Amino acid sequence: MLRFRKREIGLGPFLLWTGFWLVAGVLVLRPSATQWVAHQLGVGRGADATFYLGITALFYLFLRMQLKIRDLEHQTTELVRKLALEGARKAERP
Amino acid sequence: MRLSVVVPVYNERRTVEALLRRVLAAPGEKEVIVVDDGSTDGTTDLLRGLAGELPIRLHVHPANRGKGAAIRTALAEVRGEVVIIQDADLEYDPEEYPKLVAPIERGETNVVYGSRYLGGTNDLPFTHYKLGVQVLTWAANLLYGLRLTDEATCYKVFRADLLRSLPLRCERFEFCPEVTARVARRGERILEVPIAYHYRTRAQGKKIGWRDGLEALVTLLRCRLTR
Repeated sequence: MLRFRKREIGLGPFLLWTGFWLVAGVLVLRPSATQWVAHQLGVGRGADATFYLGITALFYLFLRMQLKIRDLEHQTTELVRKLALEGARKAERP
Repeated sequence: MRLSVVVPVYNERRTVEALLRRVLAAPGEKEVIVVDDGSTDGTTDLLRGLAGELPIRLHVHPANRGKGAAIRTALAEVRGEVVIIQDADLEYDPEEYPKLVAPIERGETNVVYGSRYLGGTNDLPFTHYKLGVQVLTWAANLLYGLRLTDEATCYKVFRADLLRSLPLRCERFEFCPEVTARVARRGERILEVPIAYHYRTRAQGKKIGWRDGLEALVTLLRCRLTR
């Protein structure tokens, strides 16, 4: 909340994380609520459903992070190349 | 035809000076573009000193970004009509430039690869490196309908305008498979000529490893499946 007020994060991430912690709070107070989710997904126990959803979410986050890192690597490379070319041009100038 | 020799360098303090002197002594009119890829062993200072003494053009990457990135930096500065890639070690012999450039000068092709497996001197023992080279060559032939004997050779020679027109994105050692794939997809004929090869071990400074081999295979596949 503080980070959102300080405009360190946008509305999207703020809503996402608020939703996440609200759901986590509900599940801590009423663990049986996971049984309903498990039933919807065709899984036997609520704990199993939480586990499967957690693994899926982690894989998704891992993929997103991989793509982001690759993107940052490309950006760094282009920056380094640009600096090298500009440095050489400056050195060539009398 | 004026030759542009592109030399990507990373931590080659022991060999780079001897290599550059051999390149400059090799026959033919040429320009030498050296890109230091963020060396940490004193190579950068050595090259800065050599740039004042030898007719080379030096570019320095402030951080290590890989062979592919270094070649792309040099490519932006190429003024010759033909480009050759020259590693900064002494595994390949610059005396062979005329033989490599001749088919392009004769107008037979726009791309020439120096093959280590066509009869020249080759002291490469059967190691995982040799196996990797053969697997990569086989994969490139299969995926792109080529008949190469050495896809991973350092000595790749191109008409400069062709090389500049390729949409290269490579950063590390995937330069070789990416450029082979792009050239093949353009329908260019890759001609091979025999070259000599003097193998060095990892202890002597060889940097390529099995991970780079895997990345090369992925690159060959990626270029086959994407534009």
